[in-house]
Amino acid sequence: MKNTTDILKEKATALSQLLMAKPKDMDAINALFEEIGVSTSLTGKSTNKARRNRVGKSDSIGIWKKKTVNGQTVYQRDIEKYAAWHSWANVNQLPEKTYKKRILLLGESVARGYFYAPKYSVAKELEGVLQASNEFNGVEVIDLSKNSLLIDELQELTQSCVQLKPDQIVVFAGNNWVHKLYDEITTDDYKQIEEIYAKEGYQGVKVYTENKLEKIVQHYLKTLVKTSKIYNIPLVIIIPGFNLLDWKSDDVEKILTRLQRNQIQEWIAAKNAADIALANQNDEEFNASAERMVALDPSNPTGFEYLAESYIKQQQFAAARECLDESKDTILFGRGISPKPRCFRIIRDVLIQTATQHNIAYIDLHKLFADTYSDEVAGKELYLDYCHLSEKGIKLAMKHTAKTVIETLTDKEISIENIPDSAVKPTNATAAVAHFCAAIHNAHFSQPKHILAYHCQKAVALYPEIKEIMLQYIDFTSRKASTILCGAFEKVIVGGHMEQYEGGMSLIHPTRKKLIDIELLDTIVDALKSIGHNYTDELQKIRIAEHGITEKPLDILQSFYKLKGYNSYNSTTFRNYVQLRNDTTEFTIVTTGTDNLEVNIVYRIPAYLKDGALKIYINSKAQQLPNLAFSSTWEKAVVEIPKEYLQKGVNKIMIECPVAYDSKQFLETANIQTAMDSFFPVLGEIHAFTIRTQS
Amino acid sequence: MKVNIIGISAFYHDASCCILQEGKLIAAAEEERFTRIKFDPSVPKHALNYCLEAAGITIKDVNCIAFYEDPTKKIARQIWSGLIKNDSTLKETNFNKVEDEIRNVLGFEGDIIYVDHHASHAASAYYFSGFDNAALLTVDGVGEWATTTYGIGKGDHIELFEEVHFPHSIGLLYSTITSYLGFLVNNGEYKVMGLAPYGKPLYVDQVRELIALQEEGQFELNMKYFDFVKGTKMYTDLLPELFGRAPRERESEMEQFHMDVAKSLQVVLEETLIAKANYLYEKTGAENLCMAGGVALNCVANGKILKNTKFKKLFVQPSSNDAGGALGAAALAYVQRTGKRPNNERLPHAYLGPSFSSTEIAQLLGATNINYQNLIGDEKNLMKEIATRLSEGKVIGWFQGRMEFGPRALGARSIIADPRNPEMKDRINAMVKKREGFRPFAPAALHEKAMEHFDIDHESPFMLETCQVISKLFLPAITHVDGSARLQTVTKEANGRFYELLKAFDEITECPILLNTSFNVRGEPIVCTPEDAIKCFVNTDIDCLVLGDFIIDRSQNNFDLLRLFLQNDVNQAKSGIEHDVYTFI
Ligand SMILES: [Fe+2]
Repeated sequence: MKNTTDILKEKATALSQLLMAKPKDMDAINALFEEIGVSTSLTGKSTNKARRNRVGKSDSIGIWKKKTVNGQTVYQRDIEKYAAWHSWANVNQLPEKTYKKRILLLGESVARGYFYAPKYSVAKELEGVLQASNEFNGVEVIDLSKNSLLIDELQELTQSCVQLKPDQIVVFAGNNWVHKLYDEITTDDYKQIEEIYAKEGYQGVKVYTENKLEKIVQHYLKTLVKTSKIYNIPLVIIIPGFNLLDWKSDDVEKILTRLQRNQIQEWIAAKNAADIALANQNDEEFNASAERMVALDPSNPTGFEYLAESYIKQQQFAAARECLDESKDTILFGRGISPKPRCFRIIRDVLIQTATQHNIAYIDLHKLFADTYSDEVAGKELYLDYCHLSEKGIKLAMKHTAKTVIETLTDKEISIENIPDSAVKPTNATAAVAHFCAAIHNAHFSQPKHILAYHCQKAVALYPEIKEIMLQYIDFTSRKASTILCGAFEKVIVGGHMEQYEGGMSLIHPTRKKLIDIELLDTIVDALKSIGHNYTDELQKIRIAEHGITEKPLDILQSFYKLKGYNSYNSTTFRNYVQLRNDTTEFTIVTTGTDNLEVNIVYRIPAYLKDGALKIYINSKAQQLPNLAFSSTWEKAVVEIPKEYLQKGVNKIMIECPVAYDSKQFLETANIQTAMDSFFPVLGEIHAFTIRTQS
Repeated sequence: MKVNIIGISAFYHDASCCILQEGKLIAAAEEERFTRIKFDPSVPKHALNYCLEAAGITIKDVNCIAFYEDPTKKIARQIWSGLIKNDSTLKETNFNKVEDEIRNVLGFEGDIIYVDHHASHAASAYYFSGFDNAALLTVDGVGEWATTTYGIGKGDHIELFEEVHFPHSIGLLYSTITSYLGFLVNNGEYKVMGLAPYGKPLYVDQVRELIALQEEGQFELNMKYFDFVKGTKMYTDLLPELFGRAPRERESEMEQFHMDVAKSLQVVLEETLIAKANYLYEKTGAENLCMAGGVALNCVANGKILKNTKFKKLFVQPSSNDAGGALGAAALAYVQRTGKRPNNERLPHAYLGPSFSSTEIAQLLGATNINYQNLIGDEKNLMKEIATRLSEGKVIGWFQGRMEFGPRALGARSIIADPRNPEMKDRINAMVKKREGFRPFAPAALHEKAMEHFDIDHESPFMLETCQVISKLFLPAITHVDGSARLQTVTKEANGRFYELLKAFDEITECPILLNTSFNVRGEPIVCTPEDAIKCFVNTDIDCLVLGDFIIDRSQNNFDLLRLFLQNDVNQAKSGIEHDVYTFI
């Protein structure tokens, strides 16, 4: 006879089989659980504790902690928060309030003056203008901006900063608020999104996510307005702008979308037509194709970028701005894992609406820049990247901010012409480094070569001595070794030259994600040529020595050859093989060009692509290798690259995926990931990809 | 077409992967070595990629993946324990994680074979023991239901004929006392073993109160003292009452009482294992014994078993922990597929991990600012240089050839030093290990001279046994308070370079023995790549690093800056698991 333990064990086994079945039979599961008698009453793990501790009155403001020094209440940098020091202003102590008007600047990296700070900053500029205006008997701007400040941190800071007894709070933020939205999206949201998508398409999905984002923003603004009212501190809000013209979507952000009724093929046809029309200078056809792309897939930024280009050709700048603003907002669809900061239109609208409602002064940079540069679409002149301002951008924004600050504090109107220039300015060296940092940052997020060239040229023109830093950069970037161990990296840091790039530490790549910055290094070499130095051969040499293909198979799936930038598809599953989601994916190899190469590849193509094949091109569409035939299970292929297709140095391998699929076949909303993968389907997979010289 | 079988252990502790090609063990490695996350339990995708590369194959060539336990049975046990509850998360929870991750993360399309946890342990010992007839004993915390199993291996096959079921577990008894003594569960057990020789067995009666031996292979824990079933803490309030002392706080001072409890535990562990091993001998009549499972890493007990039972030969799987389960699972899958046993020989060595060529190391060093000496093609001089430094009291980071599989460093990723130096133990503890000073380091000795210095009559290539030190030399850095040492014997065949170094050191000093400890800092996995080795070297005060043919002396370099960078690197390693309780994932 069985004892009770054995019976229990048998039931537990039956239950475990039910739990592992797909889909789960919840009725049967509940029934068995009842029989076994294991209830939820045993649950008791509490996670509230940590959270509760964070609330409550704090005697800290950011990294600064309250202290009494000589009878004065000051705030000093807290050594326990040392790791975060470099994210904040480089100020050891926030003094007690004096007779001076005290203005606090709260905000994100854009409010710090990213790429210039700590040598030059937005706060210094604002203080400079206010001092030059002579409107106050004394005025100080306290810099409470922080890199990567999130909305919850901003909320805390808004509440704690009143301890500094400010006369005015300036909030310059909104770029990082979407992260909270990403954090809060649940599987249930995806189920709703799926329904909305079926009925209203991507427009409906956009409205749904915007509504969620709006709630997040309003929650914060409630605190902000309340704090201002309780302590009777007037506010100024600066709404961040975006580099509309010169920040382009990357390949990840342009991943192809599942479209209803096979429209993806139509979309691709429209894009091809647009490319041809552009090459043939057929403006009408170009415009029509771009419009078609936007109509078919408003979730993909490519159509908006094309259409904006068409409007610019027609000198319709307002329409172009409108398009690029839409393009910018497409990252709401969440394709990329590291979306670059930006202020969505919905955030801008809510900020303006709240400010108007509560009579809060605000400066909308989007509008200010559009008004100031009405005969063009402003871009790289004002921005160093997506949202961080150039010196010119900072000066323009702060002049208008100063005007607003003066008006709110003195209760009189003053015209912008009467606001003087500040006496502060970055040195040429600081400005050059800022441009060089911008070039690096742009490169690491896959921006086009002409932007990299613009910043590199600026850098060498402003400060030719930057050559030494650039050469070190070329050296450590081209090495296989982790940057942190590279001697050239050490030299750059020792020199203190890259302090403006988050203390230089931002040059360290994430684990297994080192980039070799092909276009950036080529651009640096070009810029150096313009001041009379030719390093073409040196660069070629080190690349071949470190990455050149030899008789030993080289793994092309390593970051050096696979990645152009740090962004990647937003997946929580980290596979040991590569998934392709763009119609064409580029890999980079370095060769001497003197040998035929042998490619070994293990690939598969999803079953829903029926009998499509993978096409491989070397350097141009004119140089095609044999196709990789359809196989929905892993297939091995060996392909030869004739040396005639290759050039000495850098070569591109392009893999083109088939896109002909029926969108209804692969809908799955079991969890966020499968839902995401349904919207952004896989077009090909590679498990192994090695190349060696042919013996 | 060759038969390629991948073995995997994952999702609990020490994830690992191995490959058997035509039944031959080609490669094996723990995932933590690649991710730099200590005890990383995640599906071993890096280790798999390494195994495929080492075997020169791709995922398409893999015939099957063998997983080291049965998820259905394990989930059943978790339901039974109340760890899986009927709450709101149940519907969303994925209970097919094992298969899903093998398919989605690893991309494997073929057959998955699930092998019971203890069968994996048993096979990992038997098929690598070289015996064709042996009794099998596996002892650990818990697998699916079983915590201890008894079996027999004959020719190609193994059979497990008896098991002891959860919650009655010798491993969990040991872990519970480990927790009571203020160490981390799943991590501090070997420290308790090291503590025991300092104590007196004053509490054996109390420990015996915790476990009752029963008929045949069975035993029972006295569950009123234990709380681990629910998975929130290890023991009830009655346990401190039983010992008459509150639990020791982590990192607090170690007192005689704690050592006495450790000793008492060790004594009861030994008597329990001896009793059960005797039962196993009676039952099987086999002369050879194979052991595996976490408890088999207690090398002190292993030696006692061999001495106090009728077994003549003992083989302990060097990776007896769950990482080694991958080996056993793969072996059993091979038997299932081919009807043949995978290995006829005893596992010759544990150097189954990645290696790096001199060209690769030279390329790396060339990128850095490090001053180094290049001795490519001059092995003799290399050995002389290092032996001289050792004789001068220098502590060396020793990185050679393929990385070890399993928890012990065996002269491929080791920190080595002169064992005769009375200050060496404290020096190494201070400069790198930052660990409890009571634990001695282990010796590695030239195989042919080992018997002159240690009371041992056979090879000990895996550092799995303790023996008495009988040397005329004074060896304070490696001798335990009770005169014992945990010895590794080194042969030319198994590890040529380490052997040559020991010889060179012997020539200079007439001491064929070196202190050998793992090349890592506390809380981090053992180094895997030359980059890991450099980082570890820079972060510690080791005097010299040998990377293959290259020598880096600290005195020739200034690492202040590099150290600062590494401290500010955001990609720092973290521990992969929770240690307060025995986690039942
Ligand atoms: Fe185990």
